[in-house]
Amino acid sequence: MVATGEQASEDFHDSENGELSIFNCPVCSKELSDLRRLNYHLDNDHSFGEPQELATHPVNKQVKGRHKRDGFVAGHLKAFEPGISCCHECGRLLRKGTGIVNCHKCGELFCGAHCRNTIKLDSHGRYDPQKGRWYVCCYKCFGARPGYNDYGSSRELTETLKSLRTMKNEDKQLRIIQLENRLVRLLDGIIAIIRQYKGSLLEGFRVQKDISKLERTVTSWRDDNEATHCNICNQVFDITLRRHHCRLCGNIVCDSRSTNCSNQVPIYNLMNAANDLPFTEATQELVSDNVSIRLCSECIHNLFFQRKFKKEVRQPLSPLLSQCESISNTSRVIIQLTASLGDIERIKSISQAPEQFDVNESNKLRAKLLRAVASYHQSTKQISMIKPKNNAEKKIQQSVRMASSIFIDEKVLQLKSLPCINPPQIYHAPESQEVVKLSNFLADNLSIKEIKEIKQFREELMVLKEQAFLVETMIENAKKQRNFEEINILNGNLQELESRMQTIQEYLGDQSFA
Amino acid sequence: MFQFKLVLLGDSSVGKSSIVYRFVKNSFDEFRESTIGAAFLSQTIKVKESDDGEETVIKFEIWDTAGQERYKSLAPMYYRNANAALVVYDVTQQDSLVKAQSWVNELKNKVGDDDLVICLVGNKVDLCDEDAEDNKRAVGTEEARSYANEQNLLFYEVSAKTGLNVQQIFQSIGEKLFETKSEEIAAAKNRQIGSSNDHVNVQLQRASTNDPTSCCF
Repeated sequence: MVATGEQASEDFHDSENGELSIFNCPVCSKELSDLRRLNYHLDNDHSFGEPQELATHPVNKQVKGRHKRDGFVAGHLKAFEPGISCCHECGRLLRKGTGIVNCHKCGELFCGAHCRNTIKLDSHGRYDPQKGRWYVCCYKCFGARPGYNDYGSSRELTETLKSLRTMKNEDKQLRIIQLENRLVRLLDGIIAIIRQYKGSLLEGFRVQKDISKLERTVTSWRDDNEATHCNICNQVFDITLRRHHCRLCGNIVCDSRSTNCSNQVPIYNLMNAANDLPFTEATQELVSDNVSIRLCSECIHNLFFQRKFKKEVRQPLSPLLSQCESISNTSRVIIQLTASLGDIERIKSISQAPEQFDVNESNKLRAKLLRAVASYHQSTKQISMIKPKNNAEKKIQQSVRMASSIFIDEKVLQLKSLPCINPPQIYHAPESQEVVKLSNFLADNLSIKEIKEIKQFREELMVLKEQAFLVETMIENAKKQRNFEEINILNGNLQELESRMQTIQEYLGDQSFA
Repeated sequence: MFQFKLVLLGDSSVGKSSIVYRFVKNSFDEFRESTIGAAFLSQTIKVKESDDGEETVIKFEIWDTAGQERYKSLAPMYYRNANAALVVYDVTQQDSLVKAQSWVNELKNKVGDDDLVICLVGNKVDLCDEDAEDNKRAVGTEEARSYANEQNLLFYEVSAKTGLNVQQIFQSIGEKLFETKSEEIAAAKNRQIGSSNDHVNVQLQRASTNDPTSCCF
């Protein structure tokens, strides 16, 4: 910090000349022996800028009072009162034996064990990692200091992204509105011209001329010379690849067949595709007139892509797709029901004595589940009956059929593996019709026998695993007792168990555990 | 010393494990927990050789299977290659005899070994006091015995609690197994002796060299 004020600078000037070694404070006119002291005086007594320590200077050490040990302003440190002061951390009464330490940061008193960290503080007990000196502090203050537990810094950029996005979207929207306005003006103008010359002798000659005049008023065309290559596909123009202007944005583009950078579009089509725009002229009379305008692919995309999408969304779904939707809804219901049913059964099997309420509830759920499965089956059948309109629909049909059969296999297996406390006829009785349907359906996909077999094998596998574990512990025990004969026998059995497990696992393949 | 594999089969809670523990450890636990999977124990007994009063040691590897339906699939692994099977039923439960009979059928159908010794054992006879009022017997001794004779099974009624007849089951099984085994050994010995007496005559005559087309000179 450099002393400011006229007087100070004068003094400074004088001292440079070597004639005056006493500085006068510009504020209180106090005499000070050198520039350094003057700066310190200004900073501290008149609070210019940050208070600075003079601790490094040998002279200042003598000036400090005892309570200002090492330049530390002890104001916030709590005084020790014998018999009353307790450790702020552990609450123990402080004595000489426990150690009596102030945390220099928060000022609280601690026992020696709980005030062991050091922290860099300035003379007022504020955290100062650069200029500060090391002082004792408690663990809390140590941990609370900024930057202690930060694993890198994070910046919240969501807002920035949002604003950027809205800006861009607004720009795009504006651009689209502009293009739409231009389109309306252009088409209205063209129709007006056609109507004006309808039936006149000059028709063939004037119409084209007027239209091209109009086109240039709608948008300013770029200069042909400034473009050496197409602005969309970057192909270089030459004799075969001619320059063309988009009639809406005025951009210079090619008309290459392969890239479709620009196309002649009949105005009748344009009007139909954008029939929500406020065209003032009627369209009918133009059916015969084959007038087209050139549009670049970007403008076509900007104008019509969203429009087309919205239009398609508004149209009703094809029967195949609506059926697909209903299937996916039913499958969601089935998944939910199996999950909740499984929960109830698990609770029941744990609590052993099922409450009547639980039993009723689970029966209800079962009935619901069976109904859902039946309707699922119905929908899949209907889907396979619908005649596909095109290749895509055919593909959809096939994959739906596959997915649904896999889904039903899984779910029915799960349903069967649910432990049932109550006899099956209780919940099957009211749904006999559905049950019949279901079993018919199962016969189509996976015979009941097969399901039973798989279930049996799974159970056997589980039992075998259990037994293998038991035998392993038996072997361990036999080893401890040095009973080697038994170990041999048990090892033989373990091998048998393992080979059997392997055969079952091979047989079940993917279905070993659902 | 001979070693035999023995397996216990039967409905759950008829007392298979109790019989084994009575035999192996000579102890009885009123509140035994039901067996999980199959437990393994071994015990040796001594069998008198017929003529000169010499004794042979027989070791039983006992596989005590769980009777619960869940572990049914484990049983074939243990009765396969077994030398003896104890099919246990509970004399106070008629159903357990039915179950035991189905086990006997399964053993006869699935195990090819004709030498398999099957012993039908009715457990819990301590609960039956012919004169007492609360006689819990549900399966008559004669009924079971006639079935055992019909099927050519050994038959015992035992009590694991009092230890009645338990030792005898294993003793008689051991004797029967030893009998067949020693017969087998004798037969094998005879065969060996017989084969060593049979001489195989190998003719080591020289081939004729008179034939001019022969390659031998």
